[in-house]
Amino acid sequence: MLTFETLYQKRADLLFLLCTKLEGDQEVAEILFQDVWRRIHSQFGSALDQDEEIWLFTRLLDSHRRVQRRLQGRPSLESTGSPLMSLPSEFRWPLVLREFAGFDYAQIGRTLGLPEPTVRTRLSRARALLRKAMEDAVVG
Amino acid sequence: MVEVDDELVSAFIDGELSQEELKVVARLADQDANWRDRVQAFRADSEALKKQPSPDLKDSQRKLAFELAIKNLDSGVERRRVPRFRRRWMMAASFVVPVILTLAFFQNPQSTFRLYLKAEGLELQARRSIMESDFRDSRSWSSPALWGKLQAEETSSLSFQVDSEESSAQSVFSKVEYDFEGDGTVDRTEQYAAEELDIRKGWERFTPNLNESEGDYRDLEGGRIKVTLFCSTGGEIKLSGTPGELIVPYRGLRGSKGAQ
Repeated sequence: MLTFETLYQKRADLLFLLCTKLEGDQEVAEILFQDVWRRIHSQFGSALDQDEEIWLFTRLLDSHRRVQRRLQGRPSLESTGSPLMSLPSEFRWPLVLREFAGFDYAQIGRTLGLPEPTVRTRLSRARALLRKAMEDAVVG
Repeated sequence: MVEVDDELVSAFIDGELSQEELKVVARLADQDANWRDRVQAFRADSEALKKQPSPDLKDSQRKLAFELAIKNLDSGVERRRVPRFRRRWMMAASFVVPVILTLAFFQNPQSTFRLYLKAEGLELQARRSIMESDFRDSRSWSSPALWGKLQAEETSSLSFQVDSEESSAQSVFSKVEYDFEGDGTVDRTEQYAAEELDIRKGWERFTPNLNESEGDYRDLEGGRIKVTLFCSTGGEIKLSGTPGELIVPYRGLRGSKGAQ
């Protein structure tokens, strides 16, 4: 029987990693990490009959949107962080789920509510943008 | 026809190609050095991305987030209970308070001790209604039977809004008579100073000074109050739709229905 505590022990590190990849700022990443676990805890009952990973990362993206809304008006962190943070959300999210969570296209599509061909196109576009950002970072 | 582009390379390193695409890629991998370079470049980018430093989750952060998550549920339950409790009180209050206020109003309908000079008479109603009319020489308003406890430190005050219907100067003065027991005897009379109307102006509101009075105040026990306005020249005075107002020094003033 899955409990919140066992889920936390199993997934805390991965979710923290994803938080740092979705948010360029360490402090905001910690806020997101706390927020998503509160959300997971409060909705834990509905997780038991669903795909655990997709359910978790959907909560993460919901929290991410909420934290972004809460921090609206503060200086944008996305444009000042790593090359990954220079990517717009629609490209960064599938890339993070692919590269750091190991999701396949079907799982990414279900998490983000996108058809698989769109996921494929966005990942390709994300990689092109990321390469350019990394080259710019090296040149800069 | 499979197009060999970056999207194909991207899907290839992700292991997401269709069977048809896999056949094309197998041929390219054997024959096309450029393809191999592109694949290698994509894989290098992917590795570089993963190698970018990321902060580890510290034990303190791990513990804090867990505690906050657990605590949030507890406080969430408290938050739900408290508003529900308050909502019940608010709902109850929303029913009870108007009832109490309504009862209080009818028990003590004129806590501000105000009577209004209206078309029908001198009334306790706080609600204003149209009184607009005109009169020649004089006009009186009588109250219904009234009960009230005298407030010794208070005094009467009369105000009204009028306009002259004549082209010549006129003045209006006023008198208030009290019959404290309602036996037909005038127990107290108040004479107010005359106010001169300006024929160039429209509506004018007056609060005349009390000139003289005769008789002492007493409690009202079924008593009646009568207000009279006089036009000094016998001309015509027009009364505004804004009712005149008599403030009397009584607490808990209440009256029988119907004006006289």
